[in-house]
This record gives sequence, structure tokens and C-alpha cells, in this order.
Amino acid sequence: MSSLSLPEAVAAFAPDGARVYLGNFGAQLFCVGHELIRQRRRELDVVVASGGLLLDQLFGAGLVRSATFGHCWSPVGPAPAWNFRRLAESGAAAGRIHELPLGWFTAALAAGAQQLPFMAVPDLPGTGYVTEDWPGGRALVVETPFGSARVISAEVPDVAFVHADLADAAGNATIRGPLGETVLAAQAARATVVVAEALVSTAEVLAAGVTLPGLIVDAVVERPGAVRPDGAVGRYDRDVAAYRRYSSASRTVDGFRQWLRTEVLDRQETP
Amino acid sequence: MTDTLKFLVRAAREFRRGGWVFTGFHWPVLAGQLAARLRTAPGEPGDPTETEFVQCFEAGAGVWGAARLVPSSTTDYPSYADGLHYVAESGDVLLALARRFDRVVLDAANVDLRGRVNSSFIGRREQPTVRLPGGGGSADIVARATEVVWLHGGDDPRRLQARVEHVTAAPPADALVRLHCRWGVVRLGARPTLDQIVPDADGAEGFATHLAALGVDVTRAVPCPDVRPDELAAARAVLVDAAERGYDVAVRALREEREEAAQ
Repeated sequence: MSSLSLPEAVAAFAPDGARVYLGNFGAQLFCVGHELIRQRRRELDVVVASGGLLLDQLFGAGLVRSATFGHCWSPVGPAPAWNFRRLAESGAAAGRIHELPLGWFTAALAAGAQQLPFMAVPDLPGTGYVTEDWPGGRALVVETPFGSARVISAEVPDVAFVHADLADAAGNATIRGPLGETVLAAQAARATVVVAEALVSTAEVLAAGVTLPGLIVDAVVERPGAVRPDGAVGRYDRDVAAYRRYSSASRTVDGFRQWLRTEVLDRQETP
Repeated sequence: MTDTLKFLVRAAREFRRGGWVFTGFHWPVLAGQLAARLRTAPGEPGDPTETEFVQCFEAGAGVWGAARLVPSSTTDYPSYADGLHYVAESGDVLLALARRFDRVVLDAANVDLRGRVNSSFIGRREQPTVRLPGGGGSADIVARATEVVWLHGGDDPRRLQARVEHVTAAPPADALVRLHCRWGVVRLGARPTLDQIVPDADGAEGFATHLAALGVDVTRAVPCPDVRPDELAAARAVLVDAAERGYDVAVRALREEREEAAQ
């Protein structure tokens, strides 16, 4: 078990070409995404359930080789995720995105967690997920003596970055709020890095309840404000104004580049 | 503005029917908040034991009562943490519980007569004219629903189409599927019908004409039940708070109200 700074964790666990899960569903680790950008990562296969602005920023910064996600937009407004939209509308996203309904997304992680090649999922007849293969080759129907079923291939990230409220030095962690697919992602990934709002004693984590056991955690990072501009339950609210500023700035390529320079590249993580 | 408020009140009544309500992004969040506020006395915190419905979100949440802040989305966890008494995973809600919800209330930007929605692409998928956000958990939840309520708060009747270009979510054939919009309530499915109409809504006649051209039976529509002044006032308060929380529809509605007042 390692206790690392955020730059150290990103450098150690997310090299170029890695398959990177970024949590959590509604408390997104923008600090990890921004550090990936600052460290000039390339050719990442990004796995993020609720794409949101974090995925949009990674698209815009040119880090993404492929993306597996459920949707991609600004939930505040709501507004388009402009980089994602520009990429798709230019035709450059074709073949690079695997779009899964969120139920299938969680099933893919469950298969990965259990080291199974695939997981059966409820069928979605008549939808583009089936008729137009929006998952990009990841779902098909298998015939068995027990009947036929649509299945989704396993999702096994090289690393899962997971947000927690509290963690101890042994990696035991407490997540506050809805769990989304986060626990499954931590179980499925080859390595899991917990990014916690606070590193505390084991007694404090036990008192709050263990959501992620240290058994599946490889490194811990203490990073207050880890999910800003999203909110963290019991600590800070979502920064709606920041969401809106980003949506406004990223409407154009130049606006996004300016935002990226001032909000990400010109800033540094405290070691 | 008034048409928008009345639409929101009618949408909130779908929550106030009670039960476990799967609640999607956007208008459903606002309708759920309005319903919760109407259930509790003004100025009083939401009392979970007095709440007749529970909202469930795809992130894995069951929420009792009104939120501390109008949630900017269903992923705005701190806003509703005080009422978050059921904590789960997305798979629990979208896969295991989907068939058990009393109602599924979702936003619909583009919907067709069969109750299918497109929130994915306009134009060719490989290079769309407009790339929409995608479906999230809507396909999972709608496919297993017994009752679906689509909310469309816009003012363009053409968003209700004979057939959507791409299908993001499709309800089962035996589900009860209805669309709420500012002009009334349409039952969608094999035999689409205009169930209720808001005769005094701006554009209601044009909407009925549009539906008739699509083959919808508009002959049996009855007027929507009246909306009370206290409901309208509560709806306006929700929109005021929603504007602070980043909702474009709320900002627009309040701007329209100011413009109407200035005329």
C-alpha cells in the first residue's frame, strides 16, 4: 500500500496507452483528469460512466484514444459537451467510442470483477445499442442450453481512480453518496487508486463504514477538493457557476484552449 | 411562462400519485422537487415520514422529501444528501429494480408515437449533424418499465414525431406510456391518443393539428384538470431556484415573464 501525491499516483499508474477508469459517477475526479493533461498523457482508453465535462476535457486535450461511456454532456444547464460534440460531428469519433447504456456498463465491470469474459444483460430490442451496435462490438447474443442471452464483454481497466470521503493508510475507504458503478470498477481494475478528501485513522474509517476494503486498493492519495467543480457530500456543493463558465468557454476551440491554459496547464498540484 | 408553470405542476402530480418513482435528468428533477415542496408546509423542512413518494436516481439513490437545494442534476449529490436514505449502485436501480418502479419519469427532447426517444444522434451516426448526449441509463430503465411518463417542456410540437431517427430508449409494447407537454397529455403506443388538452395554452390548436396529421386520435381529448394558484406559486418558486442552479429552461422562463410584464 502506497500513500502518494496525486502527480506521483498518476505517473505510476496511468502511463501512455493505459486503460483508465475515472470515478465517481456524480463526483468526478477532475483533479486526476487535469493531472493526466498536465503530464501530457497520450493514447488513453478512457472508461467513465457518466461522461460529463471530465470526459469532454480529456477529448479536448487530445488524450483519448478510445472512450467507453454512458453519455457525455454537461448535466448543468444541461448543455452540450462541446469537444465531444465537435469530435463526433467531424466524423473523427467513429470507431473510437463505445457507448453503453449504464446498466450494461455496470454489467461489463461486474464481469471484469469476477474475471468472466462477459456478462448477460437485459436485451434492449429496437434501440440503436442493438440495431446499430453503438457499443462498438462489445455486445452480442449467445446461445446456450439454458437459453439465449445478450451479453456484454468484460471491462477490465488497468487502473481505477476512485473518489472517497475518507481513507486510511491501509486503503480502507468510505464513499459518501450514491455508489454508481464505482465499487465494481475498483473490483474490476488491475489496480485501484483511492483519491480521498481526507486521510484519517483506521478508527475513523471504521466508524464511518468501509465501502472499499483495503484488499482492493493499491494506493491512496489525500486530495481535498478532489472532485471540484462537482460536489462532495458533507464537504462542498457543486460549483454551478464553474460548470457554466466551462460550457460557455468551450463552445469554441479557442475558448476551450484558453480555459485549458488558465484552469489546468498553468496550475500545479501541490506535491 | 404560465404555460411552462402549468406544465410543471401537471408533471409534479405524476409524483404526487405516490410510490417509487424513477426520476431522470432535467424536467423530472424539477417536477419531483415541486411535488416534494407541495407535500410539506412552506418553510418547513421535508419530513420523510410524510412523503408519499420516493425518487430514485440512476446513480443509485433513493431520496425522501425535498432537497436542500434544487439539484442541478441527479448527479448533484450534496444537494439532496439530507434526504438520501437508500444508497445503492447503478446496477441495482437500472437492472434489478427497473421492473419494480411504480413509474419512470424521464425527459424527452425527441419522442415518437410509439414512445421511443432519440437522445443520441441527428443524422448519420458516423458523422452526425448534431451529436446529442447519449442515453445514460434511459434505455435500461425504459425497457423494463411498466409505466413511463415522458416530459417535454419545449414549445416545438415537431419534437413529437411519427418515428425518431435513432432509438435511444424504447418502452415495452405493454407499458403504459404518456407524454406530458405544455399543450396536454398524449398516450403513446400502438394507438396513440390525445388524452388531455390545455385549451388555453399558447399553440394548443396547432399541436392538435400536428397530432392529427401524424394519425393520433385527437377526438377524445378532455381538458386538463385546473391548476391551483398555490401550485402555480410553488412552481414559480422552483423555477426561481432552478435558475440559480443553472437550469437554462428556468432562466428562459423567467426572462419571458419579465418581458411579458414589460409589455
